[in-house]
This record gives sequence, C-alpha cells and structure tokens, in this order.
Amino acid sequence: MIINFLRLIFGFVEFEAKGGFPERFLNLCTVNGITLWQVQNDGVKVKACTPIKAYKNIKKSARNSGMKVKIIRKHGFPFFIKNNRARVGVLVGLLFVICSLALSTCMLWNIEVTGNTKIKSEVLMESLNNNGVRIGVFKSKLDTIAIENKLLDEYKDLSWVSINIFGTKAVLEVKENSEKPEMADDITPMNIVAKKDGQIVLVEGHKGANAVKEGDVVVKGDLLISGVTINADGSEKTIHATGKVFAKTLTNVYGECEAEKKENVLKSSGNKYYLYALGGEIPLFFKCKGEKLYKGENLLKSTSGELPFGVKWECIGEFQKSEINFTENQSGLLALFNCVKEKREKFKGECEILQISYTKNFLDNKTQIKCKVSAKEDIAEQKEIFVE
Amino acid sequence: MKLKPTKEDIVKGNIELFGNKQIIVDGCKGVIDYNEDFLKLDLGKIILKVTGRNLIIDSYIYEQVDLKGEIVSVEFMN
Repeated sequence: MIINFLRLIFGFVEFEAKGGFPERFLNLCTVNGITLWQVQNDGVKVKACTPIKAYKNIKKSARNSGMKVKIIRKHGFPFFIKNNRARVGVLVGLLFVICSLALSTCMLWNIEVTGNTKIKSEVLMESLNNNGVRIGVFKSKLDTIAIENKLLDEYKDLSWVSINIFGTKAVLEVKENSEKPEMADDITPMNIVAKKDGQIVLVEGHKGANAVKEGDVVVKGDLLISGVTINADGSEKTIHATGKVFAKTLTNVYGECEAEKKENVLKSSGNKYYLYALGGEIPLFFKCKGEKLYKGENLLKSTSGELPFGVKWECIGEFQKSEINFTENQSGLLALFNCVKEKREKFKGECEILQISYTKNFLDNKTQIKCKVSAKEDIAEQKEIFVE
Repeated sequence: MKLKPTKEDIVKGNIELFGNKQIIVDGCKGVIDYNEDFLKLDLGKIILKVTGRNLIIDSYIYEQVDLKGEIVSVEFMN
C-alpha cells in the first residue's frame, strides 16, 4: 500500500518490450540496478513497470538483449503535473485548498460551554471571547491555564473551570458554587392587610387570627389576618401572620390612542450579506446606509453541529418621520390593545376574571377605552407590626 | 552416500512459499526462462523451476524475485 503510494508520488511508467531475449533483458535490468515490477511475459512481449529515472537507463539493457521497448502508459503525480501545466489555475487552486485545510485544522472551529446553570452560556462565551478564545484563533496560541484562572477570578460563582481542546473544538467545562438557601423570615411580626378594595370570597389563614369573614367588604389597607393573638391567660403575642384572602374586586383599566401620530416609518429595507469563515467576515457589498434591524446566519452543518463557514446577513432599514392618521375604528383598536396590555400586567398570578366591560370615548382627537374588570383575586399583603 | 550436506551444498539464499499464490526467492543469479506458465531461476549451483498459471514477477530487484500467480509445482534441477 505505502510502496504503491510512493510509486504514484514519484511516478512510474508501464512499458512493453518485444523481440530478442526477454530473460536476458530481465537479468541485464537487474544487473544495471533497474527496478522492475508487475513483469508479465505472454510469450510475444514482456510487460513491466519501472520508475521514471530507471526507464531512461533501460534502453541500454534492451539494446543488449535485442529488444525494443515502448511506453504503454505513464502513471503518477509528475505526469499529472506535466499534463496539467497549462491549467495553472487548477493546480494553484488545489494547492490553495490543501494549504487552507492544513491551516484551518490548526484553528478553533467550535466553542462549547457545559456545566453551567446560573451563569448564562452567552456570558461565558463573551468572557472567553475577551480572553482570546474565539473561533478562528490558533490553538497553539491559547494559554488555557491562564484563561481558566482569569475566569475563576472574574466569576465568583464558579468553583472549577477547565478548557479542553478536542481537535478543532474547545470545550469549557465549569462547576458552579452551590449557594446556601435563603432563610424564610417567619419571625418578624406581620399583619395581613388588603391591597385592594373588594368583597371577601374566601379566607385561607395559615397563621394568625382571621379579622374578616366571607361576604365582608374591605377597602385598601384594612386588616384581614391579624398578627396579634391572645393567649389563654389574656396576654397578647405577636406572630408572623400568613395566608391568602380572595376577594371579588373591580378594577378600572384605561387605554388610549391619538388619531394623529408622528412616527418613524420604514421607508426602505435591504440585506447586507457577509461571507463568514472561521470568525472572519468578508462583506459582499460596497455601501449600505440605514439602521440595523435584525441579523441572521446560515452556516454549514455537519453531524457534530454547525461549522464556522457560511453566510451571515444583516437587515437594514431607512426610517422617515411621517404623520399617521388613524380612523376612529383604528385608533379604537389600538386603544383597546393598550388597555389589554395594561390589564395583563395588573392581573398576574392567582386570579380569575369574572366579567369585563368596555366603554369607548372619542374626545379631542383621541380615543379612550375604559375597561371595567371584575375578578376574584388574592388581595392579601403583609405589613410589619412595629412594636416599641 | 553423503548424509550430512556440506556448506558448499547448501544453496545461498532463501525460498519462501505463501500457499500456492506467491513465492519469494532470494539469491537469484538470473532468470533462465520465463513465461506465463513457468519460471526457471538460476540459484548458482542449482536451477529452480516453478510451474503454474498466470505467473507474474511482482518485483525483481537485488537478486530477489517475487513471483505471484497460481503455483502448481516447485522443482530443483541440477
């Protein structure tokens, strides 16, 4: 296998010899140090292979044995070069591909972060990037131990860091510190008060004395569950009251939209393309004006993941200030949209919407939506009891 | 009758036979006769005759012959 490969690299010729004495020819070749292989004698002619240099000396042996030699076929790299010398571009391209492959295998193609839960991978990647570990950097130039120490200094949450390089892939393995859990405060004396007006529907007191019952009407700040309890001997004791108090509430949510608005409107948009290879970007455009809207990438993929080769693009757009006139319906819809957005923010968590009603007003070139939301929600809020 | 061969009687070189597909002969002084069906080699004091089918000299260099093909018989002749 290796011998055949070397023969192809240095080149060899396949020849045939006719007439005369084939045996004498073979013996003379060996005496003259000419290497022969694949010798075949079919009785009429001898076919054999020999290196290029040896073939130049074979004529003497052939003449002395009365044979005539003729080349049948030329094999190997030197003949390939000779035949394709007119196609210099192809050869240069081939050489370029071989060199760039050899060079790119000395660089980093992929970076991976494993073992992190609290610190985001993007943050660690950014730190690696700042410390010189980026796609396209030469592996030999990386001082992994120094970078590991820097990362440990930078992030106090990390207890162990290791950068391993497997082929063209760098893997950052981290171990994070386990934080001690926060102690729940159940010592400070607390009352539970109402954070909204409403009619009590359900009282779930876990700790403390219930100050209200179902059906009661409360206003914001009223005591719901008391943190002051009375002992059997009549003395008072303050505790940390906990519990949930559900009440039927009525909340007003507003949304408005002006019929005339001055806004930046997208005038034109286009894409800027870049050729991406090993961390470098080659722009495929001359001049592009505008603001960056979003960007994307289309990278080549292999079985082990994405390769650092492909096309990246940025979408850019030009904006122009212009006046927008909405119809009453349009401004109404936009006002309703704002109203719903506010409602979503107000009714987060444990609550049940019972009824919603809208009223719309169009005044002073402005549409206003008033939304009445009736809901069943937890109105309990803890308030500290100040004891002198 | 000599039972023990003298040094002069021993043919210089080695002969290696790999099944009936390959034979390597060291110490070959020259090829006497060769075609697809047989090969006669001069080993100095004796002649080695290999008969077979589709015989090809895979390499012939520095007194070493590597013969491949379907070998039927190997004979020593004086």
